[in-house]
Amino acid sequence: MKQPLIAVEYNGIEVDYCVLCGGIWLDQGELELLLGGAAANRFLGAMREGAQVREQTRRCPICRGAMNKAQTEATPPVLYDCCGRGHGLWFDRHELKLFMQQSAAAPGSEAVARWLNDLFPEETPHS
Amino acid sequence: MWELIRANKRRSVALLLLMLALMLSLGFVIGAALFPVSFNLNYGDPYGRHAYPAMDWLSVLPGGLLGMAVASVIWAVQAMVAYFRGGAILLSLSGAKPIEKADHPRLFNVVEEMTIASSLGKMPRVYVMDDMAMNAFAAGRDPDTACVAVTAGLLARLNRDELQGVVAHEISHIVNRDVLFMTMISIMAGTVVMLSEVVLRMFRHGLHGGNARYRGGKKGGGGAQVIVLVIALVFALLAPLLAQLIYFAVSRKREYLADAGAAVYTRFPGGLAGALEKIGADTHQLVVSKATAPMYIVNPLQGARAFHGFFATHPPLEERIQILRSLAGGVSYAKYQTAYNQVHGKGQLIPQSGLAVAAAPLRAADPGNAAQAGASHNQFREAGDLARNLNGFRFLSCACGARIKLPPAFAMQAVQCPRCHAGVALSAARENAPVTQPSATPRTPPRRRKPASSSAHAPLMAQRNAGAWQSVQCACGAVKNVAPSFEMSQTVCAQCGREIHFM
Repeated sequence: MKQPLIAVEYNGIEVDYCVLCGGIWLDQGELELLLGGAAANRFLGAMREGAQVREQTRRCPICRGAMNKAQTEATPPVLYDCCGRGHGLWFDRHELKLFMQQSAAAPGSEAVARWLNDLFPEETPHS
Repeated sequence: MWELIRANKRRSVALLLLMLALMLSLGFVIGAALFPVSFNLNYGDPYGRHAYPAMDWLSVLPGGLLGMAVASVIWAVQAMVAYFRGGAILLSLSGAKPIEKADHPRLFNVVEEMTIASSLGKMPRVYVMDDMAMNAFAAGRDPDTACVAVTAGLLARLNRDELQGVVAHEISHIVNRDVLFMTMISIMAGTVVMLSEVVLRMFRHGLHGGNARYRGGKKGGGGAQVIVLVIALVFALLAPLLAQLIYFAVSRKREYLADAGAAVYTRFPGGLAGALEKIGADTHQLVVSKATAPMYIVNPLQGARAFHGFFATHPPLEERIQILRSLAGGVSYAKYQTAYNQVHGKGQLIPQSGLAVAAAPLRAADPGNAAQAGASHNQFREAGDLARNLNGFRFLSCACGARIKLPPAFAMQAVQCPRCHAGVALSAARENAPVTQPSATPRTPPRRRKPASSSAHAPLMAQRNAGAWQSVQCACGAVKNVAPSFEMSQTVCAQCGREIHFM
């Protein structure tokens, strides 16, 4: 059965989490808290680069619009979904893991990755 | 400022009469179009030698009168509803929910403060809309039934001075009795808009509903009926516009006046100016209906952009901010009037009794603002959690430090903490050893249906982790949310009336 996303707050920042698939939603408002208003928009803008990949379309949990596929420039590229209206980003569970290993995908992504590592310590790769 | 109050009462009556006239004419044309009666005045004259072609207009009368009768009944009901239930309707339309002091002490504190500053007889009830956009409005018919509603987004982003400015602006609407007029007009204009939409749909249906050739030999009503149809159409198109126009014509000035009131009550015009700047820069949009949009401190439909046109319900934001910022060396209605004339141009804004009041010195900015700016995370979280509480979320805390917030639609029984994978349960209030259980059970069952008495059940004990929203499950199964600022040692389950004591 489908379940609504639950919110998990850690160190003052929240992430929306799906208990069934382990995917997360990074909300625009939360990114604003983490990075600051202008930086969050820069980050979201840089993360909005499209990618031509076949994967099931996801819908934005805020506006229910179809989200775009996007990927980071690192190798291997991390595929994720982003809302075309800038409401936020969706990472599947394995995508999240990969994203946390990489950084410099976009300005500010280091801070995002650091915070995600904090939130999901057990997923953190030990280097 | 008694002139304003009197003028608003007078305007409310005038509005009612205008609406009556509008409704009556609308009723007449709709009725006439719907129930045409043909008078056969040529009865008994098969050759039509004494035809009365001019009497054709009579055919519209019975239907028209019926329409007028129906319209006046609708008007009466509408007026009563708008007067007695208007505030409640507007609040529920906006999705605002009442909060208690413990839910958001800062907001309550500010409203109390501004109630005293404005010497309003009674503190308005406080409502919060669970929207992250920034806006606020006041509703009600007089200070006794008034309420102030703000969005969670406003609580998340404004510092204390700015919040105070917004609340003072809304309270000043209440003091000036703008709320009466605005509530009435929102409801009444809203109904007219709705009615004419129905009529328009009917016409579209009738006009494009098939070809006259296949409609059968129904005789057309002649010239008079066509004219009636045209008039009805014009009315249906005009009514909402007319209703909006009345609103526009009167609402811009009262926004300036409410700004002036806010400056006087807070003695810190910078607060409201800062709030307006933040609201103007906000990119979130509040979803509201056309009829209620002009009630808000900044019109949500006309956006943050300065909206200068004839249809603007609010003065341009920059102008409001500029006037507030140019108040220096004390605040009074007279000083606001001067600033208004400098920025806006000529025009008498403040009534005589307001101009006579002496200027009060400006106060300094709240020293807590700087600290608050550093804690913007907390403030944002606080407002978000408040909105979640209004929507019936449950709050769990995991030992690892993560807080989990479950939406009401979340149906699973157990949750695993996404961070440490430990199972987290709702903190349940457990039954303690009966402390002072009444020894003798009463012979007759209690008559009250609502078991509000605490003696009915033994009190329950629960662990309290202060500093955040917490949900406690009562033995009856109901969930009680406790606000971070809740400092008392006990509360009561809203469903079964049982006392819950905190350890």
